Amino acid sequence: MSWSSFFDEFFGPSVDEKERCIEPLTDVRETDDEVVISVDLPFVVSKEDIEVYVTEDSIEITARTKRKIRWSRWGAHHRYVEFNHYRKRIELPILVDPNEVRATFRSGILEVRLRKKKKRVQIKIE
Amino acid sequence: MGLTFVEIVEKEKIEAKGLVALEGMPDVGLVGVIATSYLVDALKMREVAYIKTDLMPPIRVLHEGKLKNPIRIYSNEKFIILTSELAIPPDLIYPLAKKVVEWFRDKGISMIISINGYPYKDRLEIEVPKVFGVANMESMKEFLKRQNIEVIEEGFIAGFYAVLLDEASHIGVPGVALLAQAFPRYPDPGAAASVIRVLSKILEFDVDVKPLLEKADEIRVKVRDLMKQTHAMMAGMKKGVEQQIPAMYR
Repeated sequence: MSWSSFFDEFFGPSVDEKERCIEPLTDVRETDDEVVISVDLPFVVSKEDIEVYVTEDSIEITARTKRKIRWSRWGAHHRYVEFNHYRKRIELPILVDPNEVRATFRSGILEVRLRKKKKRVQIKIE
Repeated sequence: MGLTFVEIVEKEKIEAKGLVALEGMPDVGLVGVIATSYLVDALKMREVAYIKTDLMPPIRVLHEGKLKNPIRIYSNEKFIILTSELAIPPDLIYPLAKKVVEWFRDKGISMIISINGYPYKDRLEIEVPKVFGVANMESMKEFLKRQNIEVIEEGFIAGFYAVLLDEASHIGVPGVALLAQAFPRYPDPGAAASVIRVLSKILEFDVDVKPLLEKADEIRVKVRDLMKQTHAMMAGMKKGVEQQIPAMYR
């Protein structure tokens, strides 16, 4: 990895101070039939604090933390940074059916399984 | 571009003969970083050296107003700890591993223990992650077995610890890696606690991991950016091979 892309990664915009919102860590993987999204949500205690919106080609997650999270003496120009919720919008790698979605929340990790629109069909060999 | 350099700068006279070196560089689940940071604090270790290199981005860390290098070495009367607050660029892995291993040998270190995570896709299903071992020589494989640690006999390992153990074996420094089942892409304090439990048993020291587990959420948020950097670097380290099966059979 080059230094410039390292910097992009390091200093990328992941905290919206005005909105008191932070981007969670996410993982997107595919199985044969599903797109599986997982989201790391420390300080979120209940599934009632999480909202998930799905379209055919995207997913948006918002989750409230149980309390305000505050870092003191953060960076050179900030006395502190504070957030009270997570937000992340992910463009999906393939179209999904928004009506066939399952979600679970365990140990502070949200997992959403979205059924792919393009299903596999087994072909009979003649 | 001039010649690159990797130096270990000692801040004080370091007597390390017979000490065990613990390596906790950023890798899967940040298990090594979380575990070694916790041990530095719990065992009241002091910073004794740091790494100076032009193969890292020109970034320094401020702690309580003091300027620090991101890759640092800590010590007490039992251990030497190597850890980093920034992800290690792939170009730095070989020269740094070689430099560190030679320094360990010159200091008379008795053994290297790398602390790391092993990517486990069903991590959510397990409460207490299991710890596996990798050895860099036959005697260390026996050492792990005597400690009832399951040894990984076949497979690939990738990243700083893989090169560190290999370089150590070439110059006769014994080493093992302790790998806890960990979230592949998220910081995993639970996996770090598992390795500390094993370490405290085999090295006979007393550290309570309860405070670490109680602060798990806070740690996960604090090291989130380091996890992002580390994940970006992992692509360059070919970490994906750890999930693959070696082609050669005996």
